[in-house]
Amino acid sequence: MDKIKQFVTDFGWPRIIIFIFLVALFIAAPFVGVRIDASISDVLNRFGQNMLFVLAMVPMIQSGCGLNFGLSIGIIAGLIGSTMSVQFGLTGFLGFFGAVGFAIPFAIIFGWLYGILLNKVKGEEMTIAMYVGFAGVMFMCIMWLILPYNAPTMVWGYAGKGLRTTITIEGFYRQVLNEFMAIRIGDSFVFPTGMLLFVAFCASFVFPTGMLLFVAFCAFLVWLFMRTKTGTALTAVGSNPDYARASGISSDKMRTVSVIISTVLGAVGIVVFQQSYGFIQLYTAPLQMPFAAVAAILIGGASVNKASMVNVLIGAFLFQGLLTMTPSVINSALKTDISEVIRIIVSNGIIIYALTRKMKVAK
Amino acid sequence: MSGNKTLGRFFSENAVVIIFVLITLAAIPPSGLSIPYIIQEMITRLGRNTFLVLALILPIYAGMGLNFGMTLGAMSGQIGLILAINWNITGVEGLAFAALIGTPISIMMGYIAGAVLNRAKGREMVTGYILAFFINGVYQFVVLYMMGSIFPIRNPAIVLSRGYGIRNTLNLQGVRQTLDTLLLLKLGPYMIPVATFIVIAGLCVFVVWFKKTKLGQDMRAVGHDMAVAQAAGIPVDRTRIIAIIISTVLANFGQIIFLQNMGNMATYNAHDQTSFFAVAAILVGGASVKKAAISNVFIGVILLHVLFVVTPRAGQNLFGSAMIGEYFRQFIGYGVIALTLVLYAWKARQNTARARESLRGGAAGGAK
Amino acid sequence: MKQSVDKKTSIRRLLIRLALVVVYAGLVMLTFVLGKGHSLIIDNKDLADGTLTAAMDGNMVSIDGREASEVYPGDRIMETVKGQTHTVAIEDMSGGNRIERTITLPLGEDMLLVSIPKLIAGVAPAVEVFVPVNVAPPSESESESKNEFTSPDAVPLEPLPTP
Repeated sequence: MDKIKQFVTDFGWPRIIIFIFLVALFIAAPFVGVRIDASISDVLNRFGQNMLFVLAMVPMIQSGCGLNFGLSIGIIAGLIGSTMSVQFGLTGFLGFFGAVGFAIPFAIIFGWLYGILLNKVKGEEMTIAMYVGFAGVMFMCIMWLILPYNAPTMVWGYAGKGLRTTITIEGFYRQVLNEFMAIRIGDSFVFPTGMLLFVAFCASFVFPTGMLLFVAFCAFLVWLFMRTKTGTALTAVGSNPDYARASGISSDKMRTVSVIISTVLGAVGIVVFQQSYGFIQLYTAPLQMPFAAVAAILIGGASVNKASMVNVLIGAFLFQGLLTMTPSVINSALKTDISEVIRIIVSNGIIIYALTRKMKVAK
Repeated sequence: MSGNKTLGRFFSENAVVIIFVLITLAAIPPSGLSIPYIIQEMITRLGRNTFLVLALILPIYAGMGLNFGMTLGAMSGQIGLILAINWNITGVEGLAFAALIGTPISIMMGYIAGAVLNRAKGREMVTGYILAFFINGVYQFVVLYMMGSIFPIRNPAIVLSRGYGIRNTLNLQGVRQTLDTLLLLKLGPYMIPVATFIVIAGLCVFVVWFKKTKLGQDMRAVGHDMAVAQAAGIPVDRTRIIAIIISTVLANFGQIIFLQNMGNMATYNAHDQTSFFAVAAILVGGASVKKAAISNVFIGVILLHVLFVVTPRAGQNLFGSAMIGEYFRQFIGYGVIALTLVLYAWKARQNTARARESLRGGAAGGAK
Repeated sequence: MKQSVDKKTSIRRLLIRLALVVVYAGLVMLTFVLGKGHSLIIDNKDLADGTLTAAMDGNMVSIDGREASEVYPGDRIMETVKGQTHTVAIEDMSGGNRIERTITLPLGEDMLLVSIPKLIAGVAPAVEVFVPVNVAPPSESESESKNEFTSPDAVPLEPLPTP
């Protein structure tokens, strides 16, 4: 009984409530005409899509920089990389890894500068991060309009100059990861009439293996890294700055490293997101993405100064599950589109809840 | 040599203002706008925005930072306006009606915001920002789904064609510029909305008077040092909540003043940029997260809005695209908030580091 | 001793709060009544039953001292007003007769029809609820019940019937 109580306090009531709510939604789904297999497939898809963003939160939380509301900076680096990849006409896996390859140098530079800035403003990182991110996105908006891209699928048709808001990557690297070793359940047989329905039911369940593998690989890398000397130094700096300083660890350097890692993860993350989603979204799209990632990691149990891999997994799954299931079930139940409003209330409510918790005492 | 130091300090203290003036002056020629046009725009925007910016003063005074939660007050005012339009209340009376309806809503919102912020001490600004998004969701739920269905709306012209939910744009014809034109003064080629300025002046007087009251002094103490205030017997949490409530109610009035000048209301978006503009204005005017004066408000509104009038045109003419001008404007806006926050935080750290240094030096000398 | 002081201040506080609530409610009602806008449709048509006719050459009608408008026989013009009491000045374009009448508008209705012939003749009611053709209420009885003057605070607000 005690152990259960301990588990509950550790896990936190809100998380349990959300989990129960999610299960309830899954149970309710078939009753309102929402297909379970399509839903699970959707949730897995969105989980993989967004997980790197949530993962990107961990380094900065651990090193004491707080929640990375400036993830947009990393996303921008990723957008530069992916637009370059499409501009050069790289397709398939080359396109995907090309985008990542182009993005990483930018991400490292941006992250480094961003890290230096954050080091100068210890104590107020989160708000500043938010506005630096916004300003960066706006600056890139100007850039998207004047940089010399000219691939016909990317630029506005009429003027021939300036990138479109949404660029399709169909024919480039759309779904390359997702489709890689995808597990389809029973789609090859097509039985006539009565069985047709049953087959269609199974065929919609697609397991986006490649993406999940890649994301798991990245998560593994991060997990490994946190166990290296640098990684532990990073955590030390965040949880006990005085001890860190006494041990000779430069807290500033560690913080900058964490910001660079976070930014790089953000850059790779947006490329993974794009290949699953199918489009490159430019201009003001990156403005809202950091908030979703912040909500996810907080719902996963992290606090403003402590986050673990478990938080990432649970958080990304619960958050994306909630965001996928709530609108679809409620929309079908009420026969109206209330999803946007629900998304706003749920994701922001979670962040507020987490922000109003007392600082977690390190165990 | 000390002359250089003071000059250097002058620049660092007023860096943001100086940068702004320089950029604005640089942008005026390429914008192609005439000076009288700019001056008239400035007068109009002063009338339109000052009240909202003044609403930010008390929370800063009480040590709660920039009240991004003022959006909650703006939303309350908008609900008041929706109801005024619904019942076809026109003229200044319509504005007063909207303000009155919005007041209890904003008091309640302010209370909620204050309570939430009290539980997030040290992270008020981020929390306030997210809280505004959260309540926005609730507002949308009320206005888009409950109005017209559960809450009966009398005026079919403002309801969406599906039968419930308010339309995306509300024409405020009945109350359009009714406060501005109540006492309109024509000074040369310029039109001055005297009544609006009288209201603004009234608020300034209120702020000055309030700071002298016991409650105002309490807020100052809380803003200065919460622990000391607590020890002195001041109900810290309650004082902070009151500061937010007042700010929210003022934002309620301010948004109504803003919208009556605009003439129509984007039901679901009008409040999105409210806090952004107000915060940017007060920061540009030289205020910081811990200190704000009425002069900061006026200077900031003038500087920020002249820049916002001039840069889009300049961007358009220089780059041949109106979009670039628009993005540039937003870039400058977000950038200046970031810059000011950075400068302030950096200075604060330098002060504590300097204090620590002097302590260390003194201790070493003493130990010797 | 302390208890009685507390009681006194708490009673006073309660009274002040009650007073504030009353003042607030009063202000809300005041602004409502003072600001309520109406659309007036000024009508110079002969009555359906033929008892009264419009002036031969038409009238110049001015509301609350505004610029007068010409209303020829059979004409209909629209003006928006604010508030409940208004003066209507009617001047006969041919003869130069000038009549002033005061009308009180019912609070609850938005669009109201003012019949000039009725006003001149002093037949009550000269002001009726105007129901535009395309938003006609399903039942006739509803429009009939609003044909007389009603004092401002007696008319309850009700939602318009959905089309």
